[in-house]
Amino acid sequence: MAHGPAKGISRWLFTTNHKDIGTMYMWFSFAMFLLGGAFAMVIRAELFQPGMQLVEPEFFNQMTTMHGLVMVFGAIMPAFVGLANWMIPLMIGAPDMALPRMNNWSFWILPFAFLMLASTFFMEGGAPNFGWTFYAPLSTTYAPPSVTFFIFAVHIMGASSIMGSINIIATVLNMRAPGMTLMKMPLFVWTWLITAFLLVAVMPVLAGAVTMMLMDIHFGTSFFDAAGGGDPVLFQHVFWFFGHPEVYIIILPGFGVVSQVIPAFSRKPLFGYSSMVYATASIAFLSFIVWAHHMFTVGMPLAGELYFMYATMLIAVPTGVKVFNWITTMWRGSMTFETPMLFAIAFVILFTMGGFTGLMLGIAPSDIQYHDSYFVVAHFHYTMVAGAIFSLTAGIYYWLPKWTGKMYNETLGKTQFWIAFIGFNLTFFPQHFVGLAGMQRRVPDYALQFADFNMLSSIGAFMFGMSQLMLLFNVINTILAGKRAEKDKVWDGAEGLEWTVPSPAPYHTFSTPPQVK
Amino acid sequence: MKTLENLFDFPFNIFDPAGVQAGWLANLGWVLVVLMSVLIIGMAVLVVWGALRRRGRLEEHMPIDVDGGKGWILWGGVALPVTVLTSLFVVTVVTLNMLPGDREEPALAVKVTAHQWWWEVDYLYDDLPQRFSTANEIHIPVGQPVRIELISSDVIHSFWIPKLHGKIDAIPGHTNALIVEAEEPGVYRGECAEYCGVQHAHMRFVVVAQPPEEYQAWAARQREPAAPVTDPKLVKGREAFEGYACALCHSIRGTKARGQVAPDLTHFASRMTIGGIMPNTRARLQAWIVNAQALKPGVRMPTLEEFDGETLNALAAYLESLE
Ligand code: HEC
Ligand code: HEM
Ligand SMILES: [Cu+2]
Ligand SMILES: [Cu+2]
Repeated sequence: MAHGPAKGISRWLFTTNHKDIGTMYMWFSFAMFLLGGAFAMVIRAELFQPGMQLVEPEFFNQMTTMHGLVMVFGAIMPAFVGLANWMIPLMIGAPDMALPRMNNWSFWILPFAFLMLASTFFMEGGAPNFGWTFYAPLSTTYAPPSVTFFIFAVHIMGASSIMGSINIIATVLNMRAPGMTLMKMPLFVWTWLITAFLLVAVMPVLAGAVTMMLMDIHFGTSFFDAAGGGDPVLFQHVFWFFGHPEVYIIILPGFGVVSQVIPAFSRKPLFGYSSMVYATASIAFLSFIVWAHHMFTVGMPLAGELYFMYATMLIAVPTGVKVFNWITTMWRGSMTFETPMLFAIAFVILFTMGGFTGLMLGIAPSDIQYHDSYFVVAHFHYTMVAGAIFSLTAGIYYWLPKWTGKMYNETLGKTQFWIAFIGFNLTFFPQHFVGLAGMQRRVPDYALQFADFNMLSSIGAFMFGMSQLMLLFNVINTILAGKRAEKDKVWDGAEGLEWTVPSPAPYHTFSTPPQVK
Repeated sequence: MKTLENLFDFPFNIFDPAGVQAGWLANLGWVLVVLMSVLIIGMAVLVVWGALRRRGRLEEHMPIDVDGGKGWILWGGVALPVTVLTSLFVVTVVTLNMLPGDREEPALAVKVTAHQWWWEVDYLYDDLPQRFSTANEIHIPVGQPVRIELISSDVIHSFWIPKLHGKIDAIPGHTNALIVEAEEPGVYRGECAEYCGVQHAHMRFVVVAQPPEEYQAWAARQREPAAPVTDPKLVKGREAFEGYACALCHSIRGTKARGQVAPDLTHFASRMTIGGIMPNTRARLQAWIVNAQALKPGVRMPTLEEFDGETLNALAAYLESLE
């Protein structure tokens, strides 16, 4: 029968246990979050005042590039994979992931990818400096030599993501407990299933893009080199065909987390469950056909502009359905506001705002004014920080008692929420205005008229950075010195199979599948 | 604190347009900003209100009407977005139609070539001798549409004069075009809006919109080759320019300098900026000539420290005489 974990380091190196692997994913992504955060602090420190003060422009560009890459591929994506590893088997009543050995492999190649990426700082010519969107030919003909290592790192991350998502698809489709039909699955499982399909579809496209770069750089092809008959615009099409679905890869699992948390603290089932599932699926589908809204300035024919604009606007409909579902779930519930709920509600408000600014950017003639300005920076931080990071934080506080069997410090949690909330808005709200007034993005220096707002932004960023250290402290403190959770089901309103197992969740759960009615 | 950026600042607020196209875009912008603000605030209030209405645990009160509220989804989730989106779409299509496109053929065409990190500007008059070349400064007549053709010699850049029009990218292997029409005379800031490498932030230019007669006078002077110099100091300056590496990169029409990879300096003294980033003064020019790298790190002009003071002086004096 069940036996405990192996002893010492080999437990972690050789583990095939979904909880161990989930834990490693989470800690790894938090480490990357701190690294990417440190880069962000350098950026905000330089932008504290106009003019060049602290760093050379070349180093600043390496910072913005690495910040984006590390946050997207190192922090947010692995964190959600970690949550999926921990929670999906528990939520569907499976003993483990369907492909446990591959699971070990998909995690363990990641640290090497990021080690390689980070090592580029010490190479001649420095780290990648061409932006996280790495447009050719800046990232090919004009790139520092370290670009080859960047390409290899992206390949490994892609392989890791693809294996991770195949595993999730296989688990969800094959390992559900008897009675757990698809339309009974918790929404977190649904959103991840759909995300996993997105990943399997677009990560190879990204791999293709970087491989074409590699060929251009080393093997004399000219996919993206105009002098050889290639086309830099091709790169953008390929990149954004990956890139737009990617933004939904980042946010859909967050939708899932919030759809677990809000019902629990409203003590009411999720409103309109099936419409949520269909809305998620439509968003995923639409995300494949809107990519060129990132390219309104490349000189598209009018018909192209109209099409991509219209398709982009369509996404607002299923997104609107989701937001109203969350509101209706809370409507006339029995509401309490513990830390996970605070983060979930902030998510709904701030993500909605990001959606509306996205709509402004999706309108071709206005985008040509706002594109590549700080308005875009504000938009995507409202979706990626207030969206992905806030929902992750909600998930961490919500399931931490399940993982550790101990209760986190609620006062500290709430304090962290308010500091994060205020810090976040202080950082990114003013960026809408400087962007609308014409400040471009990816600049280490800016016009004097933007000085005040940028100073506010920087102060907010330092606040937000601090709030994340509080989260780290709260988690460690819970593990080491938290009060024992009184019940297995710590939240009285929580539903789902994960709350039927003891807290902390034993090393092996559901060795005999539960019966779902 | 070195504040290069602040030495030279011309207005560039999108919402304070100075041209026909930017005017339309600003109107659309206001519609969007107001509409989105109302929607964002409305949604935030709704979420907070929905959350705060009934506080308490299950023991205190059972939730009521678990399934009620389907109307919300229909009204809020479907009807509202569909109406808002449809009207937005209509407003947008109207704006797109208003933006003068390639339909009319403006009299004046300017070819702008983006280089890492400066702008080459060629005036494309049909009559070949009328053509001329300059850099980082574009003059246009007020009240007349001007066609800007954009190409790039290296990476992707984006041409943006916020007060006149939206951005359009300069992409290797592509020619993009934009039609701008200034309504008010003035000097406006232009910048590169696509990340293009180390000096992206400082890849700037100025646009001078002036009454047509003034523009014609300016163009007539730009067309002329550099006036011959006689003053011994200036002659020494010219010879230095032709003798040192300068002439390999830069050209000064009317002299032996015929370089093609750097800004045309024929009428350099008539320009407002050096390198697009700082006022064109004697002291700065000398600093630029000996060490452009210090002022615009990474710039594609080498550090040329080999001059003695006298030669440097003569060189700067000569360049400053190129009105
Ligand atoms: C290797 C080619 C090269 C050489 C040699 C060179 N320059 Fe330049 N120069 C450039 C480039 C490229 C720029 C545009 C830099 C920018 O703004 O990014 C430039 C800009 C300038 C400008 C400013 C032009 C403007 O319109 O703002 C001046 C003045 C200038 N150079 C003078 C000189 C002088 C004098 C010499 C010789 C002592 C010289 N350059 C040698 C490449 C060169
Ligand atoms: C209603 C939903 C959304 C719409 C209509 C929308 C629209 C857009 C548009 C048009 C742009 C291009 C702006 C420009 O560069 O000019 C953009 C950029 C961006 N969006 Fe969104 N978006 C939405 C949701 C999201 C979500 C959910 C995320 C991520 C979680 C996201 C992340 C980003 C990012 C990262 C960029 C910047 C890419 C870059 O670096 O250039 N967006 N969005
Ligand atoms: Cu997109
Ligand atoms: Cu640029």
